[in-house]
Amino acid sequence: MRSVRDRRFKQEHSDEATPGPQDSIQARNRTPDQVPVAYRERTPPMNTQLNLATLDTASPEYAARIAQYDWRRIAEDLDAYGVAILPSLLSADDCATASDLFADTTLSRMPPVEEMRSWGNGNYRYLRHSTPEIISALRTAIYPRLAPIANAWNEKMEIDDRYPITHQDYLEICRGAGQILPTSMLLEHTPGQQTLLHQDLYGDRAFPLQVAVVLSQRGADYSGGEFVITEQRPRMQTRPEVISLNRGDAVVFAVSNRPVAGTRGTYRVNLRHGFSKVREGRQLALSIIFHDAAA
Amino acid sequence: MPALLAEKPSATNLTPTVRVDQIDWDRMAKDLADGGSAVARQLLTPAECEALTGLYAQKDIFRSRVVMARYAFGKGEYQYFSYPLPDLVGELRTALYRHLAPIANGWNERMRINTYYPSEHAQYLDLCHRAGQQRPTPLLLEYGAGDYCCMHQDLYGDLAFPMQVVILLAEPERDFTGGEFLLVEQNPRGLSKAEVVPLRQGDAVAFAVNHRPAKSARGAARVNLRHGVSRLHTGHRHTLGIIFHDAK
Repeated sequence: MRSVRDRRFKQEHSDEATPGPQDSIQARNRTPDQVPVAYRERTPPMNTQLNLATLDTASPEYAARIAQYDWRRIAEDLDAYGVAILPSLLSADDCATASDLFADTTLSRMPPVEEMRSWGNGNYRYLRHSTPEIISALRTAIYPRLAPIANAWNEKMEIDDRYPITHQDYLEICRGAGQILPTSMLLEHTPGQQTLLHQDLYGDRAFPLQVAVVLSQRGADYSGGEFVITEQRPRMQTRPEVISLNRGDAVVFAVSNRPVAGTRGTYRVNLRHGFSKVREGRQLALSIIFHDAAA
Repeated sequence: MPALLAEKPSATNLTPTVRVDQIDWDRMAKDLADGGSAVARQLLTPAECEALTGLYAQKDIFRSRVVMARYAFGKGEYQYFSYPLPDLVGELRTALYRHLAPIANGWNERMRINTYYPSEHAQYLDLCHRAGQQRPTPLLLEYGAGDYCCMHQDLYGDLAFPMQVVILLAEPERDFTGGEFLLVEQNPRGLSKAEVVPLRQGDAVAFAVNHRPAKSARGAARVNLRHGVSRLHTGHRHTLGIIFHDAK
């Protein structure tokens, strides 16, 4: 199931595969929901072999693909459940391209040993700013569709912040707040590995929706590894969602809060997301977060 | 994924008690200790599953019906059986308890809880009844499209047997989509862990009612668990819930 190349990678980085949280002191002092962010970006390597795009370049191809979805249905699902699916966002070829990035450690913005472990025992790879085009193009193309939904949510939650219509402008706002580190990442889960329920908050600025794309096929490449969301409701029990995704399917979901219409007005719910443990095989996923992280 | 989905011939001619006795309880105990849940595949035959599902419409055998949306427990409904329980339900409850009680006693020892569960369910029910917990807790649950059950713990009084069993009576993909059985473990020092338990028709999952022992640097720790069901996308899903303590 695993390619020879992957196996070699695994051996070379066997220290990375150690399961279980091995938190640093800083990690222990964090509030449990937040992932650590205070990692300085190293000097970028001279990597010219890959098709590297400049910071979040819009791509007509991805914009066209994203325009084909029924965005009214997606907005309705997000309003009702805090989660919506974009079926087949990436082709099998796209998934293979993105999966290959996992093995390329030069694309990582931090040394492997410093990749997070406090929120799961999977293998995580934060990507540098000059991320491969496939990721930056998706990020740029999806954002304008989500900004109106995010603005409507803020209005309902009586939050003053409004999100600009282009991702470039939103990244400027992040930059102004000192959030300049990239947040896109690849996740790998092998048998027994999972990602715990968490929130991807990396500073004061946070775009309220994010996207995950599964790059492997359940049933063929892996079993288990379901995408799980829990929604904590005030004075009520937590509502679970389990999302089954095929290779290339994307899920859009709330980063932390979303508004819910109740009988006595709107209330806020608090969401967390994670992956349940992979039982067999290997699962790769791509996480796209629209805010950058505090340096 | 043959290992997970392999069909094994079901032993239709064996009584439920014999089938319960034939489960690999060493493996079950290990799985329960490792992750708070363990699955016994094909404990019930499709015919038994369908017969139990059919009971849902017989109002006279239940003591109460709960519409989950009324209490914000979720969406969907369930009914608690009255005593005497249907034969199959009663037999399963007695037979499962006999194997789970030693595991529960091991857990209590590790968690330094000074409670000992007697070896026979009749003796344990006697304790419940003397503590004022006299109403039966086994239940049938019915979910339709859009229904779900929030994360919860089935506690009904001071006395609680620490494990319970759910048996899936419908077949995923054929009878319904969505509707995943989910456990969430609260780690006192970090993030919660979600576990989806894949089940097929007739499979039984045993899991911790509220907490289980966990390894920690200082010896025995407890992790807190809740269980629930994710939203059904299509179809109907019935389950049988077997809880070993009775309710106030």
